[in-house]
Amino acid sequence: MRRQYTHAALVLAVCAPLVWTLCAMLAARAQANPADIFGYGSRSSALGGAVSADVSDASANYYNPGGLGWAEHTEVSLGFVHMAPTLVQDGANAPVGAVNAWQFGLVAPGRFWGLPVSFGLAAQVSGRRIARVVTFTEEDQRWFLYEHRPEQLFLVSNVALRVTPRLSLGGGFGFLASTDGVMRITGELVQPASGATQYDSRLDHEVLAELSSVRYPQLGASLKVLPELDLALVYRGEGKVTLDVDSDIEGNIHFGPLAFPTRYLLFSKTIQSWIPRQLTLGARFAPTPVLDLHVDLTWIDWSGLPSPVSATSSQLSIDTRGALFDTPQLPPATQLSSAHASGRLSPRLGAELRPPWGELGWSLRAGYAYQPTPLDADSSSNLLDADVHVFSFGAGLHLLQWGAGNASGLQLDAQTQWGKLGQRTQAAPGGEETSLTGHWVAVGAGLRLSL
Amino acid sequence: VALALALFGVATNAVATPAALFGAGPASQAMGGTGVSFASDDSAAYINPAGLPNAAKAFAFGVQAARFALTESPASADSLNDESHAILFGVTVPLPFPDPVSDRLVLGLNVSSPGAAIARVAILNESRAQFPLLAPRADALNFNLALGAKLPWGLHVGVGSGLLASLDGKIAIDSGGDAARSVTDDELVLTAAPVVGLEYAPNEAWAFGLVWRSALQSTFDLNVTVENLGSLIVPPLHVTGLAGFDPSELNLEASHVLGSWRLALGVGHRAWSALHTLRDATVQCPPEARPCAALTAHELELRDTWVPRLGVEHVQALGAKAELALRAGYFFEPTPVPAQQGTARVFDNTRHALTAGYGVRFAAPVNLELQMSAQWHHLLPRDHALVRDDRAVTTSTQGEVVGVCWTLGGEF
Repeated sequence: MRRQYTHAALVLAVCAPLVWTLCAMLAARAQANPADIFGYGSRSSALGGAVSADVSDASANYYNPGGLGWAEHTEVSLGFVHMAPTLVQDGANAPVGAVNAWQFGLVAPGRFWGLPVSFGLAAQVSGRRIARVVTFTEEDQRWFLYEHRPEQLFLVSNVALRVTPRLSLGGGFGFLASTDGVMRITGELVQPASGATQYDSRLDHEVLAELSSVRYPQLGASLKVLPELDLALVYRGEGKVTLDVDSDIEGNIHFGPLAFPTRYLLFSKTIQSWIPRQLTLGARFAPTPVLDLHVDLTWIDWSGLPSPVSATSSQLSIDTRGALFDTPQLPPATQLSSAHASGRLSPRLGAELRPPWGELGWSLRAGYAYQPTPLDADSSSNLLDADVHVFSFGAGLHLLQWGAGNASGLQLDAQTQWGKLGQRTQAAPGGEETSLTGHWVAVGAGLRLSL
Repeated sequence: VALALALFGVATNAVATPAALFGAGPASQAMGGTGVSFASDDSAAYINPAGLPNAAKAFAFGVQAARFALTESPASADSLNDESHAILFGVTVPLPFPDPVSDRLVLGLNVSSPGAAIARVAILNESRAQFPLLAPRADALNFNLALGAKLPWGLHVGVGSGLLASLDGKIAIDSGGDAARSVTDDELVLTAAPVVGLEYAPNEAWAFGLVWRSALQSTFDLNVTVENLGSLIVPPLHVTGLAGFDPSELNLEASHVLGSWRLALGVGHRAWSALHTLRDATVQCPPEARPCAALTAHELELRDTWVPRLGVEHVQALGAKAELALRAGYFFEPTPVPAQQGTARVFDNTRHALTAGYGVRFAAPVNLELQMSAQWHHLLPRDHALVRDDRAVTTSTQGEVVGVCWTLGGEF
């Protein structure tokens, strides 16, 4: 009887954690945009991201869809960025690796029924990788905004309309992807004995899954007040993917000649992806014809930040048919703790100088951004984060120019960013304190082809 | 519009593409899936990128729906009827480089996505009744990006790629200690299928097209290891399956324009034989442990197919600023799946497809085009010698597929 009970426990012990883990795997988390940390586009990143009032290239798809309305020429862009974080917890480096990402952009202006319109598309993908997921439990301490966040696909698409010669309005959607489904594992597990091996196990699997998209809206307005002054207002809506995963293990547990029908059900619910609401007010001021100053102020509503841990529960039913044996214990349902986050104000500054050096057009750029951590100072949490001061520098060069007024051309942009994490002491749920600091470096370059 | 664009990132678990089932774009779908020699809108990004140089700066968006009425007689307990919906988006953008390549390059994007649900994955036991090459294929993302170039002597060339994504990962479960611990590390990676096309139009009357499209395959592949489960030993588990598959294709087509009529005739070769299984065995037997009693993967034994296509189009003016195009077509799609034997019920039937549709184009300043297509596929009845409950039975499969598509687009 003891051996028979072991067999019953075996089915559950193997399959329960397996399916539990599979559910956690499917409950892939993708907290926010990778562009929220490192920016998008070489020029915009070099300006500290403070470009909402003066952006008409593909990065307008992220910073201000309304800016697309000022595009005069079709633009195709390709960029590459390397990001290397060094995150330190209690003096030890966290295992958060570097990321390489490709950025693609398209801006296609035209006229529809006589009105200037523009279509824009921007994407960032980490190599061939669309997304990477590494699960963790409630007890694990994680740099949740950095671990694999840059490795999520970033994809936005917008349309802009130039309403008047001074005002352009744009809007569109950013996209997230989620997976949910049901997995079934059935069969017999064989133990090594009497010439048999574990590879004689007759296990089988089925997967029913659905991939769905979740869209978060973007709206932007760009206003040319004066030749020297542009203003912008941008809103980005909240994006949330709620994921439900059910798992089903069904089969017979054999006790000698008797078979006992068994069914194990597991339910998992996760906020897989979450983009906070954001509102940006931006301005560009040109004190001289060769110098632009930029400032953006963004309110990021982190207060709804959900726990990235899956909430799971399970049920087990064994038709014992009167036989006497104990039902194996199941793991308890997950108790999620609050993320303890609040809204934050993030200022950004940028300056762009166009010195008259030779016949080729040069641009020198610098920027600064302050990214406060969304985590409350007096809260205890296993989510790790700290305030970041980001300093950026870059340059642009027109490699080729042609067409009427040299309107068409090929431009090379390059940038480097250094993000310094401020010292932060954070309390874990157990009461112990942990010291956080670090920095990250990003370097990148891009080509913009205007036609 | 933007919705459909989302989706190359989310093509995670697509099961082949609807374009391979119905064709791309309503004009081609209405003409029996022809277009290799004349498609010049965004659908050329899929059909033949060499047609893109004839495209203007234009966009199109629309919807597509299909209903699958499939039967197994005697009646199956597994539901075989299905339906699919998709959102379509396309854009073509000429790239006005300076001479000598001015007005010669056009970029095209063609996307269809099955609504809010981007793709469905159904990796089923082969003993379940299923038509894996029909409904699941219509419920998958189709994303194609291509560039066409105009060469001298009436030659056009084009290159592009279809995109899907695969899920690869590993799960390590360690049951040592007080509670089971596990580490999951998985990733979605892009898989691409290059497309190369050629179009030759020696004069305004004749056009010839040739396009090769490589196989597009995405997989669902998770390797699971379990350790420290007391004295129990668990073999590595492979939760795997085919998430998407379009076979490599070679399509050849000729079209002739005579006044207001266009006639197109084409043939395509589909290399289905490269697909061996829908899913691998859960427990895979290592060489040192062979032979094993573990379940083995079911071999599909598919064969390559030839698909002939015929399309006709008639264009007539509707007043001074509009024109109407009426279209019809036919294609014959032999099944690559052999008649099923034993317990496997992976069905597919040879199909005759009749197609029709129309397009209304309004000239400037409206610059809009409305297009519609409808397809009716008739699945020829087919018998299978199966085993159910240890008894030999003969079942028959047949069915109908109806698909419709609308798009609205225009130049901008």
